[in-house]
Amino acid sequence: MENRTEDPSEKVRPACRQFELELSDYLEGESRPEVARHAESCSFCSALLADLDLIRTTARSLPQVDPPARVWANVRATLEAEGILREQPSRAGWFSFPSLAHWRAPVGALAAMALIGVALLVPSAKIDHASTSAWLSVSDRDALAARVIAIEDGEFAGTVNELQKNFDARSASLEPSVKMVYLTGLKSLDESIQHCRAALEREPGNVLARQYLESAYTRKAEVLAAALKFDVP
Amino acid sequence: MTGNTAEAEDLAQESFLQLFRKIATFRGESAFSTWLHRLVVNVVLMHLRKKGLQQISLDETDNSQEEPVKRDYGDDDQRLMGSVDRISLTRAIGDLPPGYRAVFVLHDVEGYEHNEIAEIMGCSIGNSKSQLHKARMKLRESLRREEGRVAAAKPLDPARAPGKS
Repeated sequence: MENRTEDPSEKVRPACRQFELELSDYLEGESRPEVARHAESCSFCSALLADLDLIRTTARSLPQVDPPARVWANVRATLEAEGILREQPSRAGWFSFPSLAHWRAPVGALAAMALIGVALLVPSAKIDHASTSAWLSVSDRDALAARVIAIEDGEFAGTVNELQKNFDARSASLEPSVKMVYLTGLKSLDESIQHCRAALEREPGNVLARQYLESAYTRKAEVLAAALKFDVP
Repeated sequence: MTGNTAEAEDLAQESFLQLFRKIATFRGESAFSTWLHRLVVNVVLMHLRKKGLQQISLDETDNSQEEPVKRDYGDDDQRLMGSVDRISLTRAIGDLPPGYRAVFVLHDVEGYEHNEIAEIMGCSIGNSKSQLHKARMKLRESLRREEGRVAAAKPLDPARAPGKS
């Protein structure tokens, strides 16, 4: 390695300048043997190469986020209003799928699973409370608001258990396939809740685990609320 | 590209509406994914224009040769810690100027090639490469700054304290 402290006031060495000119192509996979050679002899350029490679690799692993179900519902409503999409009397939806309204909550349950999965995978993820209920309609969200506040006040389990009991009592009337999707989503959320609780038991001061737990409870409440189709005052 | 979840949802919604409205104009002259991305990018750029946000033109001259990395050869602590957490990177991407951010996301996150990005963004392949390089350099700078802030806020690791070897 070159002695970096030899001349700290030096601006940019010619070899480093040439390295930087060819770095982009090298990172694109083009053959630039002089880039690798220079990196071996210059700690500054070696660090630059390693950092850019690290950024590139990490970027490729960033999770892709699907739009929430609310977006599809709004798109459908707008297209129906514009006459581009005709509403079917049977509510049979796009591309022969069942009605979006019918599937909104199950889809939401799956979305919640995915979001919780992402939240648990990303160690320092911040829970975006503004978007946690984004896949519910505005009226559903309004109806939920009071309950979510209660949840954030610390009455997680009680509120969600109450919803769960109502759901259990009424789930028999759900179409079997829809019920199955709900149950799958709820099971995953329950697993997330257990996971977060275990983390908190091990480490009560784990702020992230508490945030994830709140998020899991909130999403479970949303899924249950959507399933129960609250009467909004 | 917006750096904001609610805005991104609104723009995703608008993009799908545009897709349904304009699907008949797709002539198969390019890959459908490229056409769709171009449509989405147009929706986003229109939105940014309406908001009056400063944009970096993708047609700007490639002046990367005139702006070598500022370096201090006497700086010992010049490399990231060997890992970048995804939240920090996401935040740093959100802080990029829109032009850089778009090219970086398309190339490094979504895996598009420069010729596809050039078609999507309506710029030259050279400009796409140049913007990508500048975006990565800005990200590095931003992540190093963040790393410096975190390190300054942390108590000194006893294992690395002076006198320990």
